[in-house]
Amino acid sequence: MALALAAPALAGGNLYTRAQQLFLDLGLPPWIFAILVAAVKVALILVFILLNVLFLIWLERKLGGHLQNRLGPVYTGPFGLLQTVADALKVLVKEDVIPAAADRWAFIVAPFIAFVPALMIWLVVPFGPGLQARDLSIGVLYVAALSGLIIPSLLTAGWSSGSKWSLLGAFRAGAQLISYEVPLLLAQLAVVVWAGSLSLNDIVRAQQQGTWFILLQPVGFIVYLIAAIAELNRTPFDLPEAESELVAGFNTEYSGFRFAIFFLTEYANLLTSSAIAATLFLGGWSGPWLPPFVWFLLKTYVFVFIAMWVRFTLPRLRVDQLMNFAWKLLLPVALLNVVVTGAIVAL
Amino acid sequence: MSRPVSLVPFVPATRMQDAEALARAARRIEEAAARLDPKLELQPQVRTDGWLELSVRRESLLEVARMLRDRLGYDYLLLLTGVDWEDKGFQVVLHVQNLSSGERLVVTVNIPRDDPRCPSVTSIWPTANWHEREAWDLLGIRFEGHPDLRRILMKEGWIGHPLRKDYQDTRPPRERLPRPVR
Amino acid sequence: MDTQIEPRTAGGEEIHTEEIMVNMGPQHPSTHGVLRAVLTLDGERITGVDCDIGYLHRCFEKVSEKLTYPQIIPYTDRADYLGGMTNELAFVLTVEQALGIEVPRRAQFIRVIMSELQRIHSHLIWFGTFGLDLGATTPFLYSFRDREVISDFFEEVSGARMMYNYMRVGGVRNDITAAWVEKVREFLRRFPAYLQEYDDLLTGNPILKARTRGIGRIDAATAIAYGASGPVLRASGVAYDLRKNDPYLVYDELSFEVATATEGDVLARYRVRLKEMRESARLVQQALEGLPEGDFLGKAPRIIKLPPGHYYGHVEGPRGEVGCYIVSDGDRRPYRLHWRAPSFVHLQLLPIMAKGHFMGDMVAIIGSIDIVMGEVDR
Repeated sequence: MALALAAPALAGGNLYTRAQQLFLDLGLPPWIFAILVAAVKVALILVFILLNVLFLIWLERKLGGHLQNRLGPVYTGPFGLLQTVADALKVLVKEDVIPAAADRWAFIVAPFIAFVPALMIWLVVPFGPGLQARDLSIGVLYVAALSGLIIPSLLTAGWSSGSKWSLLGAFRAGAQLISYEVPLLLAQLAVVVWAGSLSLNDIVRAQQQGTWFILLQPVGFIVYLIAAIAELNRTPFDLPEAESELVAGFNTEYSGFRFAIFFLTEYANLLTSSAIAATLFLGGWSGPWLPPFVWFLLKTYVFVFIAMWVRFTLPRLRVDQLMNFAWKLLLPVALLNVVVTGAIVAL
Repeated sequence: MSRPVSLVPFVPATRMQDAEALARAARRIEEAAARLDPKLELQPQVRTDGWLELSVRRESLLEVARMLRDRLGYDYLLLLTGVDWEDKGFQVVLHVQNLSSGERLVVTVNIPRDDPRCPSVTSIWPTANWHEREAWDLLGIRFEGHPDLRRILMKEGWIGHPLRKDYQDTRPPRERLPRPVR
Repeated sequence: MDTQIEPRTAGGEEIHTEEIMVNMGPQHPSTHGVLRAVLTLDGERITGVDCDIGYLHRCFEKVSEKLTYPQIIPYTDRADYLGGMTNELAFVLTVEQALGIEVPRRAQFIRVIMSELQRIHSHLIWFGTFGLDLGATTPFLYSFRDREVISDFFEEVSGARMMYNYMRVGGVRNDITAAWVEKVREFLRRFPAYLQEYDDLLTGNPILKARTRGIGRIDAATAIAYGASGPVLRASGVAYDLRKNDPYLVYDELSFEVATATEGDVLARYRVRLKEMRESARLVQQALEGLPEGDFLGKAPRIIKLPPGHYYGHVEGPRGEVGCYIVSDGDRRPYRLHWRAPSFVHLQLLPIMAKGHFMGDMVAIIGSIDIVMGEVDR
């Protein structure tokens, strides 16, 4: 068994196989190596996400500042780049307040229910050719399943806070996320139909050979864009945490470290949605001249920029308008898009 | 909710010095009052600042107010408040206006200090609601027939009515911190 | 506006639902201060509103009974802290009218300029906060950029950016200089472009229209019955403006339009205020053109004692009719002073406007009334 594994490794001789050979030579069982590889991958992805989230928060403030006639952060570090670090440190040393009326355990657990799936999605995101933790054959389905997990988290947070504002925010979150999940999935479905595969890697390759799906699926992209912004609870769909209506919605009662986790999740999700959008519609890592990883980042940040731009431009919708928009406009359009795509592919 | 909306046209304003207009308005009030009830004996006086002043007895306030709004078109209550005249009792003061003609009028009601009751005009000018609550809160004038006479500015359970001239703060004096030594 | 809760059924059985009571304020981002509104909600729909005010009560009227007339002027600033100039004006006009003082023409023009700048100033703040209420953060920064300029103007003439203490019985405290006039002219030249920016940012936005059209509607009859004034009354189709209907200062010599709308909803009040800013800019322009030379502070008695009697004076403030009712017994201090605050009156309309609408509309409605709690609680 060990020899059979080692044989091709000796022939190949890249870093991965050489490391594997070293392990086998030392007489360690292969599962330790598998765990180690997985740990390194997780660590790399975690670092990637956290660094990006730090940058995203800075970008949001800087971009918001410039869109609003002001400078944004300037004092901490060059261009205020260390502002997020300073904020994170401040938030982490704050008192962790758990309200007396709160359902204690649910209150404590809720932020993590949101945070963990946000990280797990990155398992299947292709950063470049071969740069993927796991190329699941059901990649798109996996992403959809995990991104749906944020709903129970928000409901738990809102319910367990023991505050009416939080509860209202949680109700809104539940209704909104479930509504927008449907057009979001339908938009992804059209891409899947076109590419003929659920694997994100295959979808990128399909675009590499043909054209980007944003050209073949413009309607799908717009539906995805709108639904994703709604999924992310960002203006104009930020009703679950509408600060002028519900104080802060489901996270009204959260403070300190737990609030930071929610905050982090929000931006991690923004990054995730952007990465998925770049993969599904903008050709993922494919592109000329630049290294694939750079292309991937660039495309991701295009989407991020659009989301931030929209946030600082538009007012907020109302609950009923939000629902009407999802079910009466976005859903039929997305459905029609899938049908038309299917017809074209069949022909 | 689709009631017609009317645009009230501009009217030449009754300037404060326009004695003729004031006299005309006074005559209209007298005539209307005589038709309503000759026993009212309403005599509008011209005040120094150009407002007509009409002193009304407490019992007939509701009747007169309804006449003012329905017959004479004083549809707009500017403010309602009270004055504490100490031994002469309280006075409830209403400033009303006829929006379409620009006529303005002050209605005063004198009420005794030991029996500070006054009929509420909320049913005639709904805006009086909070004004009356404020007058009750700060001056202790009890408006009878008011739908919801609660304190409005002071907190619930406050003792006394602060705008009365004889108001004494019943709270124990607050402890003062010693001045910081420089 | 059916406030009856419809019974919900599932599988033929009626589901029992309950209304919830929510305390909105006194600490809430959108109650513009310390308004506490106790909302009864059926889901997100508002079935009842009860306003609880008084959190900012500072005994203005009681304190005034202990102060001489000139001493009261700075206190009026603090009633409606976003309309200091018009508040002071309401007070000094009442005192001057009681004394029968003639104010120099230059002072009257300066007062017009200050009132109208104050109106723009206040409406700019309203515009920004209204955008915030609706979830648009950017207009706030834009309107505050422009409001800063007006604050600087006020600072230059009075030394303060909010609590001016600028009006005096008989005139104003400081004269305005030619350099100041030139700066205001420069501002007015740029102001139309600013307004255009606001239109681009917010007015043309379909989300804004969807959020405001048909919301918080009151008709003319209700508005009059509830004593509404200012933009709230004018948006309901009643062209009542004290600057036209009871002209004070030199308003009858200046030409301007009264901004009106007939719908009576949030959008109508929004449009009326935007139009008013334009008209106010025109008024300032005209007043600057016609600014005569002369005294800025006329003759007034050294010790001001009002003859015994009742006096009522009013001006058109940014929020509506600001009234000052003074009862004098001939002393240096008023025997009784009552302040007619438009926000206090308008707040009574809130339950009527909000009933049957959604929670999210509540903040739009509060924003459209443009309340200042300092004035409500005095």
